[in-house]
Amino acid sequence: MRLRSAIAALALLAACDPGPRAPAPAVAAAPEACANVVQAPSLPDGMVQDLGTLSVGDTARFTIGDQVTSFVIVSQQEGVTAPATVVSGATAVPNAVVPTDLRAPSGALYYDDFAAWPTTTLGGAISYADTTGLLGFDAGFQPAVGVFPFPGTSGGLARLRAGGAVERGTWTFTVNDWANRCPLPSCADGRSAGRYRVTVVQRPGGIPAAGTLDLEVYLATGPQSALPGAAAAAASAQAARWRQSLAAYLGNAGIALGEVTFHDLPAEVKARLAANGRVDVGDAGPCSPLARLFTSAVVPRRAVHLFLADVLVAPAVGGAPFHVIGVDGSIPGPSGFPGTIYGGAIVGLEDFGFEVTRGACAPAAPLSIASCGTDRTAYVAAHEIGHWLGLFHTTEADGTFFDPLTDTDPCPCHACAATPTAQAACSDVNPRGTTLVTNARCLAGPACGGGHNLMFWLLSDHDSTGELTPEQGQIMRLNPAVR
Amino acid sequence: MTLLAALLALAAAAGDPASGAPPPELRRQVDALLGSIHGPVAPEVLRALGPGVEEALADAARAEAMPSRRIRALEALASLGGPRAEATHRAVAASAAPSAVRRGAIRGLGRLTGTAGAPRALAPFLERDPDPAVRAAAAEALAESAPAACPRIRARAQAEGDGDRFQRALSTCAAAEGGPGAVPGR
Repeated sequence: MRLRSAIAALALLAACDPGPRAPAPAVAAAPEACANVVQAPSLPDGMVQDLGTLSVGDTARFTIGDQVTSFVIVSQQEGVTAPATVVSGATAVPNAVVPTDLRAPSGALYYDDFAAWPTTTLGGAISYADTTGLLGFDAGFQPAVGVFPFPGTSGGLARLRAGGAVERGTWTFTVNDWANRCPLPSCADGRSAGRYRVTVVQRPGGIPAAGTLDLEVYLATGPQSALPGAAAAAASAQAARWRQSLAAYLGNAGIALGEVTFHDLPAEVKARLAANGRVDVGDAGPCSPLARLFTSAVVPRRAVHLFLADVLVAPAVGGAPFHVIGVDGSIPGPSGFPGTIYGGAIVGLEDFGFEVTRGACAPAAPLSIASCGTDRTAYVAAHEIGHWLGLFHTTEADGTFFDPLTDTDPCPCHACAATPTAQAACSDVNPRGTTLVTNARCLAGPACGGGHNLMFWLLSDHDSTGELTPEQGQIMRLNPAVR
Repeated sequence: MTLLAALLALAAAAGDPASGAPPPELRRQVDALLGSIHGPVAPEVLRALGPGVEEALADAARAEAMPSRRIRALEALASLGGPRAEATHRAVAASAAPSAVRRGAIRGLGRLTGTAGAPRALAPFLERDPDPAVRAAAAEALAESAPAACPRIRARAQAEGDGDRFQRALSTCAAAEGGPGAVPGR
């Protein structure tokens, strides 16, 4: 959710001013970065290049060999060498760790953190940010640990397909965080001494038509939970159904669910960060309870590290705490680096085992997110895994910002709203707009799509089928977590 | 179509003002927005849907539906406030709904009844509910809404002998009273 709210805020800002550089999401002032432990990779040696400890402003070089189909730059802050936030105007924004630029051996510029996003016109004369053609894209906005993937966009996939592999040779990029050089207006930068342990993970082999994903599942649950511990989970018929449902959704991406291993968390971690199965997911910062919880995902496996908790709660500003169904630490997740502060996704178990109609979760009952809570929980887990593997929401809540893929249908608010009144309250035409796009509205017209997609921002009993497009499947299968 | 039939169809489409039933499209919108995966939608978004939103949310909160949807509906209703919200929370809290849903209703009830009303509304759940998780939720809601009830919460925690379950409530009490947040029984 941290990233999702960030993107939602980003979308709102982008709608106000799509021309210049991508604006950053506003966040409440976060505490300064707490001590961050640099994690070693748990990947085969041939996939990893350790570039050592580099400072902001340094030029990093790495080598891409033959038949590499994707790479990820993972930058982990050493100690507390940079602030967690930077002030832009009157707003504190995350001190994003992202390369200033990325150049291929041919000299081609694959990413420029200071470039304005291109725009496109949808549904008439309304202009929206269009990141599909970019070769590189970063919307992480996360301090302390940066994860930059290639490819992550249709432009990147097209370049990869054209060459059959990532351009081989020496690539370069400039190590940066926004407290050092900030692309936002009125940014108080020039104040970082950030030092980062930089690692490049490359995935060899051709563009995969299929893959297998292992799952390490950590139980942040209480003693009264449906899944109170690893032994109970391994023997649970509902956990078996959950795995089966999850496998069905991942199958839509050509990914087979491999080994699923349940783990108990240390009692001390549970007591401190998941008392009685309740996890606070409200704070996005590197010192937040959720980030600290994720550091307990230490099983050294090339996998997605998923937490299950009985309840996820986020405190609201000026209001009561609210429930969250699922959260992913970062997009993409730091695959192969278990134990980092963003190295987890977490899903709540409130619906797990619940049957709207008697027998809906029985072993032979068909998959149904409408009537079987276990299937619903699996759907949310698949959605969060989609984020981990590099997918964004196809369309963000207010219908003004879309993922960087061309084969996912966008759902622009103004074109897809139900009524003239709702249209007039769309954020793409009204800065104070309140209309949000729904699954049904995103299936209601030729210019509207994405309502069936696993990565839509809402889960609908009637419309969410968990579909994934070919490009979404490619992005997921190219992630280093998928073998 | 006769004029009468047309008028009836129009009335059905617009909802029935006499019964306060929300229009079908509004109900569909509310139902859809309760499916948000990462967090709830803002109260102003719900308010902007127009009259009938509270009724649609109350229906969703009372429906035999997925717990997460019912909790979302209760939270949304609590954020809008009003007598319908309070009545719905009371009804769901006292119902045979799943524990997670009842706990959601208890939390909202604390918020809706406030400092003056929370002790009366929540004490029965704190002291007599058969579900220990609901008793703990009542303690938390009470500690947040009415710190004056903290002695009662401490007494309950002592009687339960389960410091872990009451940890949050006791910490809230300690913070409200300027104490160190010590938790007995740990």
